[in-house]
Order: sequence, then C-alpha cells, then structure tokens
Amino acid sequence: MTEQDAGTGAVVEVRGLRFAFPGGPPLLDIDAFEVSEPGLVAVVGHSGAGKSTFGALIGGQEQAPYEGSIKVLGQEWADLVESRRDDARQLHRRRIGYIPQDYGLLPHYTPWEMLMLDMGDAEIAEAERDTRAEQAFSAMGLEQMRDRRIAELSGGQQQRVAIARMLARDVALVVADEPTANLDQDTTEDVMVALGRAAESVPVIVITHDRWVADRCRWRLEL
Amino acid sequence: MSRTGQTPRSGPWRLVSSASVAMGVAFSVLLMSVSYGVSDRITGDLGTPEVRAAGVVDADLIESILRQLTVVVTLAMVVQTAAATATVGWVLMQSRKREIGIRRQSGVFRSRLVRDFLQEMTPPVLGGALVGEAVGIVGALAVRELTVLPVSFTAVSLLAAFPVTIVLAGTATTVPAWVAAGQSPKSVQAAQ
Repeated sequence: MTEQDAGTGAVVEVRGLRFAFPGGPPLLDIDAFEVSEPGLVAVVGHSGAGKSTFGALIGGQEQAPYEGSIKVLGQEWADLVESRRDDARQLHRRRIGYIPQDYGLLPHYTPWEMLMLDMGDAEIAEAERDTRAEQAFSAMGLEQMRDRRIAELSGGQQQRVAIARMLARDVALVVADEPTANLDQDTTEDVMVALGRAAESVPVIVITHDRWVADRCRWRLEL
Repeated sequence: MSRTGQTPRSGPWRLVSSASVAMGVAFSVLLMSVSYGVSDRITGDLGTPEVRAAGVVDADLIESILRQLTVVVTLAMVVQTAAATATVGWVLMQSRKREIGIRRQSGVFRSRLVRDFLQEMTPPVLGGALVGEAVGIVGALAVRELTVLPVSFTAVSLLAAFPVTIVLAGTATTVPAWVAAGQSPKSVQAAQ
C-alpha cells in the first residue's frame, strides 16, 4: 500500500476491490490503494497473486467486472466499460501508459515509426509529434537507435522504447507490468533509471516480483 | 517510415491479398467467358431453322440446359472468388490481432482502426482485381486462339466477380477488426 494520505486529486484510487475471473477463484482483495503524486510505486507479490491483473485493471486493459471501486484519473473504470462508449474508454486509455510484459511494440517498426503510430492513434497534433518523439528519445538515450528495427534492439532498449512511447504521449500515469523480467542485472538497473526518469513527472506503477526492483520504488503494495 | 506521418505496413500480407484477389477474379473471368462462349455457340447452332426442322435433337431442352449451366458456373465462380478472398482477409486480420491490441492500448478509436485497415486493404484488393480482370481476359483470348473453345465476353462474365470480391474483402477486413477492437486489449493479444 502506498503511504500516501488519502486526499483529493488521486491519480489512482482503489477501494474495496474484489476481483475474480468468471468461474475462477478470488484473485484480488484490496481494501485501499491510492497514488497521488509522481514517483515509483511497486506492486509486489508471489506468482499468481494477481499482480498483472491488478495492473491491467488500473491500466484499463482488463474489462472483466469487479466489485468495489477503481478510480483512475477520476474515472471509475467499470463505468467506462459498462457505458459501451468506445470514445470515452479510449480517451481514458490515452491518458494511461500501459507497458505490458512483452513491451507492446511492433517488431517490424522502428522506434520512430512506433512513436508516430502511437501519437497518431492518440490524435496528438501532427505539428507536435516530431518534437515530442525527439524529446522522448533524448530522455531515454535512444537517439542513435530510433531508425533501427525494434526486433533488432535488445530487451533493455525495447523497454526504453516502450517508456519513450509513454513520454511522447504525455500520459498522466504509467503502469509497467514486469518491466525487468528476463533482463540481466545491468539492464535492469538501466530500465529502473529510465522508469525513474519518467516517474519525475507522473506516477509509475511497477508490477514486479523482483525485490531489488521493488526496493528502488518509493512506495509499495504487497498482494 | 518516414518522417511524413506515414506508418509502415507489412508488405507480405498486401501481396498475398493482391494475389488471392487477382487469381480469383482471373479464373472467374476466364471460366465465365468460356462458359458464355460455349453456350452462345451451341445455342446459335441449334437455333438455325434447319436443325430445328430436322428434329434430331431437342433444341429447347439443350438451350435450357446450357442457360442453367452458365448460371451455375457464374454463381460458382463468384462464390469461389468471394470465399477465397474472404478467407484470406479473415486469416490476415487474425494475424494482426496483436497490432490491434497494441493500438487499442494506446487509445485508438475503433472507427479509426477500421478505417486504417480499410485504407490499407483497398489498394491491394483493387489492384489485384484489376490485374485479375486483365489476366482473365488475356487468358480467355488465348483459349479462343489456341483451342476450339468459343469465348464470349459479356458484362456478367467480365464484371460479376469484381464488385463481389471488393465487398467481401472489405467485409473480411472490417468485421474482424471491429470485433477485435471491441475486446479488451489484453484478451485480443492473448487470443493470437
């Protein structure tokens, strides 16, 4: 649980969350969780504890019903799912940078193309896109790699491209699911530095089973 | 890609779509033109007063059989072309579910996603259909030159497969994209 005070303007506010997949056993049981300011937040737990599902719910990627409340950026997620209004749901997703375990990149694209597609999908003004992409690559130290195929990049570089996508879109929250899985220690440290940079301006929720990674985060939720 | 805002599209699937449509349309044009040619020729021969007066064959029955045979061939070719096009379109869209999931994660509207896929699909399908028309006509002319089979180009033999193919290719692209876009990004990617 974060050590935040419950207050107004929470970026993420979870109350009395109970979740199970249809026909499955109870998976999540979280009384309260709140994130209100920029910084790294670790969500840790043993395998099967529901960490990734929790991240997917907060990140607006899981549409299965739940009990309780998940408010992200002031929007109750269930309301958006149930409203069946595609535009409302997608506008909400645009404000969240969700990085799945496999980084969520298209391997035949270059990082530059990936960011352009992403910003086009989020309907960011065309005149701003080049500048935003350049700034994001600069922040992630990817200037030299932006025109290489993503498939040719290392895991750590791909993870930085994934983070750059979120920076370019100027999201209000980042949720990274196991961002350091399958990375060696040096690369893990690089990725945590990159996530730390993103966390200077927005909350970054890191779903992880890695205690070393969790120790680098300012707050922690144990599942 | 480039810096112009265009995004790269995977080339192989476009080639597969074009080839599939071209082959379907070409065979449709060729077989329907031959079918109409055979029908016209036999009907013409049987329609002469001498043959009818001789009473050796039942000219009306044969003409009726030929008409129905032509209809069956026409429908079969249109359905075959449409089915092949729809199958290829459907399979190609299934292979792009990961892309759909990733783009939905970023907040792309369902309508924009479908429009993008339609825009991508239209040039290769239209191009394939035009190439198929040309190949079918050339093939039919070659059949007429090299064999005893007669060939007739009619509006139906030339154009029946074209619109059906375009409509089916569009449907096979938009329906799976629309359905996939309605699911959660997580389940779309997991399904692939």
